[in-house]
Amino acid sequence: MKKLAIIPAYNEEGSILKTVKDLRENAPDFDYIIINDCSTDDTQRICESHRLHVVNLPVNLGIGGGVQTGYQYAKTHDYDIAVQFDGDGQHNAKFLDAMAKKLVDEDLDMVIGSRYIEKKGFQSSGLRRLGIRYFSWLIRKMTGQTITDPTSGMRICNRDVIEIYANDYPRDYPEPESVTTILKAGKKVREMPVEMNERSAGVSSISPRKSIYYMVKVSLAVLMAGKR
Amino acid sequence: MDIRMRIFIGIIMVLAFLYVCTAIKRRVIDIRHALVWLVVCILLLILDIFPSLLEGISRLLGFALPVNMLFFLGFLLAIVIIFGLSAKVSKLNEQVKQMTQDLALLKNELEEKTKS
Repeated sequence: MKKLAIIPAYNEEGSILKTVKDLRENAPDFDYIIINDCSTDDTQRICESHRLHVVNLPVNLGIGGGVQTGYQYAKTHDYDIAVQFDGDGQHNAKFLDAMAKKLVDEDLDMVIGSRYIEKKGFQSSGLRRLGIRYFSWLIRKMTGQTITDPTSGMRICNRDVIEIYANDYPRDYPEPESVTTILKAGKKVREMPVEMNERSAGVSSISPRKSIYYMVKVSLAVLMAGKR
Repeated sequence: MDIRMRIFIGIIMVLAFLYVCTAIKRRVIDIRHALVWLVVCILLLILDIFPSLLEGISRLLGFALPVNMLFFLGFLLAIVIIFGLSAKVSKLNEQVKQMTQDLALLKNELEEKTKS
């Protein structure tokens, strides 16, 4: 069974090597592909000098466009399973095998790594958690299913979902919207507890200034996806 | 409507029309996209030249002053055009995204082939 880790990277020169090392050591069954979203730092040079597998986007597309490129790569290279694995050191590769096993054993379409089932590891700041609880509530209203960590980027999925995401994926802040889309399409989604770290380098894509836009945009997107 | 205002609006419309025409000639703007602006200019010019037409319509729709009707119409058409542009930008954005992704994946494939 071919498994791929999609690593979206924008200016991750400080953490990209660590991320790949973590994958190689703790999830050796997974191939990986770095999607370098037109970084302005040394990410591309580091990837090339270490001969890492990398797709360099010639134009900056934002997180959604980058991750979608990863799903397209998974589709064209005929992978059975793909997982999104952040390039900033927030995700731990040691959970990937268990997530893949759950996906296959329980015949699911997607498994989301959730920080809020066992409440271990980095839990994000208070205001962010409030936002996450709100999206969790909104998704429950729209789909009837409970996703405790709808903003988690650590998501593993099968061929069906790879196909869906390769064709259509939200551009920015994609997680809550894209999970609503596949729930509405009748796909089976479960969560399992994982621990995440605080980012080791780089900055979050959600600055305080953008958080209002984030809340409004994602709410609207989830509502639209839920009504489809 | 005051004759001075009508002359003023008329001159502005003619100038705008000529400006759009030269823009087409110099290939600053595509005819497909310029057409709607030319239509707006001509429409407002007609209403400006024949005020009885404008007065009739504005009475029918309950505008107190015909000139308000003229401004409202211009504003409405501009809004429609701007929304059309927003839609166009969204589409262009999507097309650029798809081309970027295809290009990046192709380049990756080429590099992998030359490596091995």
